[in-house]
Amino acid sequence: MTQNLVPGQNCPVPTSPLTVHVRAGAAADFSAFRLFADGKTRRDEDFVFYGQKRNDDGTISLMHDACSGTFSIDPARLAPDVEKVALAVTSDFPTIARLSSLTLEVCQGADCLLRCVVETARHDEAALILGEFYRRNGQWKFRFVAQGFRGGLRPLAEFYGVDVADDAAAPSPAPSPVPPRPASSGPVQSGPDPSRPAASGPAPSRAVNLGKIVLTKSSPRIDLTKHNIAGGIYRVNLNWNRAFTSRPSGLAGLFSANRQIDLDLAAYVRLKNGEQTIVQALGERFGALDRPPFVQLMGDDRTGSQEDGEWLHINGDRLDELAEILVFAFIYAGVPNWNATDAVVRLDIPGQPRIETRLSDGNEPLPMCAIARILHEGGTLRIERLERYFRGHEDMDRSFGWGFTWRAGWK
Amino acid sequence: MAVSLVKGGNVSLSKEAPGLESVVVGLGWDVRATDGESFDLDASCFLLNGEGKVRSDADFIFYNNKTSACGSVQHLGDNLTGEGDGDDEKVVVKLASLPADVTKLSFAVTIHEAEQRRQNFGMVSNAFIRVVNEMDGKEIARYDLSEDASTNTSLIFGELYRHNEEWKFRAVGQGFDGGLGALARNFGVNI
Repeated sequence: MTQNLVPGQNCPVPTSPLTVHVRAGAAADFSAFRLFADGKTRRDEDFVFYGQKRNDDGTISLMHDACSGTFSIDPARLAPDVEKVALAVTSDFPTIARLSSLTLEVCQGADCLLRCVVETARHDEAALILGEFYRRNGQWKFRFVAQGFRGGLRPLAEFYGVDVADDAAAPSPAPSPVPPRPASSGPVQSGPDPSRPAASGPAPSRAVNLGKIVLTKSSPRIDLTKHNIAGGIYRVNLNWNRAFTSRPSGLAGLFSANRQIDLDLAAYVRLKNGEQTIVQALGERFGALDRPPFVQLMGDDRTGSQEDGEWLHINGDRLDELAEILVFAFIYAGVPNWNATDAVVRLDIPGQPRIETRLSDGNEPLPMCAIARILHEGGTLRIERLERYFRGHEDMDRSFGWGFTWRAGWK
Repeated sequence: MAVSLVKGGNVSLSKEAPGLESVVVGLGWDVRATDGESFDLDASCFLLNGEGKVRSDADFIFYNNKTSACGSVQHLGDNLTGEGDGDDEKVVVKLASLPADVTKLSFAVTIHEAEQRRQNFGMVSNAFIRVVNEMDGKEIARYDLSEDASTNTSLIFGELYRHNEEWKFRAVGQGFDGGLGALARNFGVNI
C-alpha cells in the first residue's frame, strides 16, 4: 500500500534495495548526496549526478532521462558512518515552479511504498532537496523535505560540503549572484599556508565539475575529435515547458480552451554516399537505426503528455556512413511563441559531457526552427548551434539548399 | 540519564532527580539553511488549577508575558530564528515556590505563523523540547519534534503536576492545529 507524505513527514523504510523514481513535468537534473554525521559529503564520490552516475561502492546510482530520474539505493550496504542520503532536483528553468509537476516515489521492487507530490507552484527555488534517507534508532527512514535554494545546484552542493568548480556556473541560470564562500576562520594570510608543507605537492582538489557543454550564440560550436568518440546510441532530446498554454488573443480567447504548445522534433540526414532524407513524424517518416538513415525518431505524442519530450536516436556505430544531421523542430499546435516554450535540446553521446542548447531568440512568430547541426568531416564531429527560424519546410530547404520536392498533403 | 518517554508515560521527578528544586523546559531547533521564511518556534507555559484552567490571564507565560505573578515561572526570551547551540528558548520553573492552587503546569510549543508560512515541525531541522534538571543540567525527558511531531504545527509537550507531595512529569505529545491563540483559549485564557 502506498503512503502519501506531506513535506516534513517521515516514514520508516525497509533496508532492502530501494528504487526512487522522480518525475518532473519538464527538463530537470537529479542528484544524490551521501552524508556523514556533520551532514556533509566527504569526497567527490559522495555526490551522484549526471557527471557521475554511480558512487564508489555502488550503493547509490542514477539513471535519468530529460525529465525523470531513477535512483537505486541499497541502505543495508551503506557504510556504517553514512548517516543520510539526500536526493535533489535542479530545474533547467529558473524555478521549480516551471516544472509544473514533480513527484517522487520510493519503491521496493514493484511496490510503491511512499509517494511525495511537490506543489511546484509554491516553489521559486531553482534547486530542491526532495527528500532524505536517514538513520534513526538503528533503522532507516525517509523524510519528504521539499526545501531548496533559489541559486540552484551550486548553493545546494555547497550546503552539502561539495566544492564547486568556478567555471561550472553555466548549467543552470542563477537568478541571484552567488556570494563568495566565506574564508576559513583565522587571520587573512597573504602567503602560503605555513601549516601545510609546501613540498607535499598540490592539495587534492575537491572541486567537482558540474559542467555540461552549453552552446550559446556567443559560443555556438564544439568539435569532438574522433578518437574521443565512442560508438553506441547518441540521444537527442527536445523538451519544453508544458506549463505554458498559448491563449488565442482577443475576445475569442475568452470562449476557447487554452491549447498547449506541441513541438515536433525532426532531422535532416545526409549520408556520406550523398543520399539525403528527412526524419519526422509527419508522413510517418520515422527513420531507422540499423539501416539508412541510421537516425530514428523514437515516437511522437501529439497530446504533449509524454513528459520527457521527444527523442531522436543516432546510431553512433554507423558514424562512418553519416555526413550531416540537422536537427529541427516545428510547432505543431499552438501559436508560434518559442520564447514561452523554454525549449531545450540536449545531445548525449556516450562518454561525453552532455551538450545542450536553448531556443532563446524566437521572437518572430515563425513555426519552424533549425536548432543544431552535427557535421562529420575528416575525423571530427562538429556540433553547431543554429537557431534559425523559418516559415516552413520549403523555406528552410531553400536556405540550406537541400532541394527536396515538398508536396502538399504532408502536413 | 534521560528517560525516554512514550506518549502519556509518567516520570516521577523526585525519583529520577531527588532533591529537584527547579527544572528548565528547553526548546531548540536549527536555523533554516534553505531559502524561504525562517522557522520561529515558541515555547509557552500555562499555570493551571485543579480544573485544568488558568486562574487568570497572567498564568499564560509566553513571549509577551515572561514571568508569572509568583515569580516561579520565567520565560528567558524569544529566539526568532533558532540561532545558537543547545536550547534556543528556556522556561525556568522553581517548583518549591509555586502557589498551592497551581496543581499543574502545561508546556507547549507552537510554530509562529505556521499556517501562513505553511510550515510544520518536520520541516525544521533538529527541533526538540526537553525538561532538564536546572541544578546539574541533566535531561529528564525529551521530545524530538522534527521526528515525532513532524506533521504538527503545535504540540502540548508535557505537564508537570503535583502527586502526593511530589512533582511528576507526564509526556503528553499531543499535536493540534490552530496555533498559540487556540491553545490559550482552550486553557481559559481570554484572547
